[in-house]
Amino acid sequence: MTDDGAKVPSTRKKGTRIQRREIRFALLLLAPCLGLIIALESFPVFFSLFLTFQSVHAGMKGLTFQFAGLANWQQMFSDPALSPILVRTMYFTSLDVGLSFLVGLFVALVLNQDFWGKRFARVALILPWAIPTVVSGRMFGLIFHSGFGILNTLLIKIGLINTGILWLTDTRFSINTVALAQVWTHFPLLALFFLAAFETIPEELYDAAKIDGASRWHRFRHVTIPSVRNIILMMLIITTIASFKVFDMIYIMTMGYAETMVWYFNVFVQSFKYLYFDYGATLAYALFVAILLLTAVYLKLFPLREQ
Amino acid sequence: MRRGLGRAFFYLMVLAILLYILAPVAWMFLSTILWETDFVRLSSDLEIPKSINFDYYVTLLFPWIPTKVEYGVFGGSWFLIKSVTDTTIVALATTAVTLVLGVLAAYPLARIRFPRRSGVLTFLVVVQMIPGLAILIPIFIIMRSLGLIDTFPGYILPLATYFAPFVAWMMVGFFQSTPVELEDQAIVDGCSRWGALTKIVLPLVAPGLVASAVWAFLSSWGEFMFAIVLTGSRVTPISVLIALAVGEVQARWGWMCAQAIIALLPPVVLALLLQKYLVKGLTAGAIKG
Repeated sequence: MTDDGAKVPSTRKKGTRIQRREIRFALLLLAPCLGLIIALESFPVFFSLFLTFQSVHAGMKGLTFQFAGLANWQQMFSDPALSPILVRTMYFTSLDVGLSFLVGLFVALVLNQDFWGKRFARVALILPWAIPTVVSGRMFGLIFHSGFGILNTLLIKIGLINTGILWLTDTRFSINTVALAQVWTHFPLLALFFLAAFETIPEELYDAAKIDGASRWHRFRHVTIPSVRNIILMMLIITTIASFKVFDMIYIMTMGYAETMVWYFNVFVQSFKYLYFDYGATLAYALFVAILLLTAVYLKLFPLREQ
Repeated sequence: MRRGLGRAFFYLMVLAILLYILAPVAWMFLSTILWETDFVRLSSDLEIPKSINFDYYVTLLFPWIPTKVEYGVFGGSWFLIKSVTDTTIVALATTAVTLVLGVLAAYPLARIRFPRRSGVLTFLVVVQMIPGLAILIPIFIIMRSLGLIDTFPGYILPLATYFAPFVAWMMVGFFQSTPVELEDQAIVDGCSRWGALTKIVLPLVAPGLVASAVWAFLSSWGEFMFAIVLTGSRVTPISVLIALAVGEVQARWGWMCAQAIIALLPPVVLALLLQKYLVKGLTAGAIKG
């Protein structure tokens, strides 16, 4: 670089030259990131789209591709195994998102108060989020163990149940058990976002409400909730997308057995267990489209900030 | 009186929250310092065990020291040490690549006017919405044809690329919150853009760099889905080791949980130490918007 930058640009020509240099600099910095994203994300996404119109055979000599038209998409819309999976995915997502929100909001409301040990509690809050999901899955496997799990033991001692529940194999419980484990890993981030949002609410609002004689509930309902409404909407969409993509927890706790197969895990099973890369890609694409629609709603609600 | 009762009820809620967060982890830890028979008796009959020991950890971490533990498949072997080494390499390399990609891309997006800037920003958001499996199928096919399955670059590059848009997005916020005057002054004083970035701006966004680095390290340390598809025996991230344990060690809970506890220590210690930065980084962008 020369010392051009030191001179204050006086002519228009010089201005555009500096501008052009700025743009070149910007592109240079962006190149590695965008290059890799194009190579390892954009290209694969289009490759996946290509796969959805192919018939892929995994043989001894590797993969062979053959044009298959809309066969994979037709298979998806007529696959009888998919409708219970779709319903279960919806159920799992509502349970996971709903409970994570309730627990997250409750925790944030409690930790927002002043009390002795507040700092410790806030630091501890990050723990479930920081622990790798396979580890928390293993941990809940130990707690929900149908043979010697502590949860069954405690429930029996209290007298709530007579015999142990088969948390992970009884189909009435299995998907709920996975969701409960998932909530433990999801709620801290929500609580942290709520706490951060609470801090942006000016104290005067509460004071004014108090002077007007608003009760604790009314202050919560009419001051707190409206102030964090945008955060709630945003987190709702982010958590929903994250919940669609549940993978680690299912893999480690049930492998999709005992009626715990959800859409995303089915993509994995079809692609990497049965090696139906074409059909797996089709299922993955359907989910991608659903997520993009949700994202469109998200971007409509929260337009990108420009400087 | 009513106030006191309310206070007691409040502390009861705090206690319940702390129990909900800490008890499961403590319980898993307990299973690793008791003999399996003792732990099963404690867990199924609430029978208090008489002794504790750290033999699982000694066997896993110091395979050359003979211990009395019944030898599982992984017991007394170098499996865990190899896996922890692999995971450390993966996590550090992924963090470094993610950070370089994300920070370099974020600076012009925050500071320089160039054509299609908002297009690039939108692109970075949309890319984050791609479900990992949708790109993993082609990446697996590509890496296999390149012979890069079960190698470090074949895992680290896709992972770092997958994480980079989030870091870029987070860093744009941090760059935007630094005053532009300091850079302008430096440029007027004869500093190049690059010089201004490295000497003036990067120190200012140090908290953002820490937040991004911790986030990337945590995410890559425990990453499982890319790992189970792209790695195997030559490169064995600890998440894969833990997930595959059931079949091979026949549900030996003491071993599996000891591995799990070792796996959670690095990210948890990092997160607790640097919690302030991490939380700020994660929440900053959203709260401002």
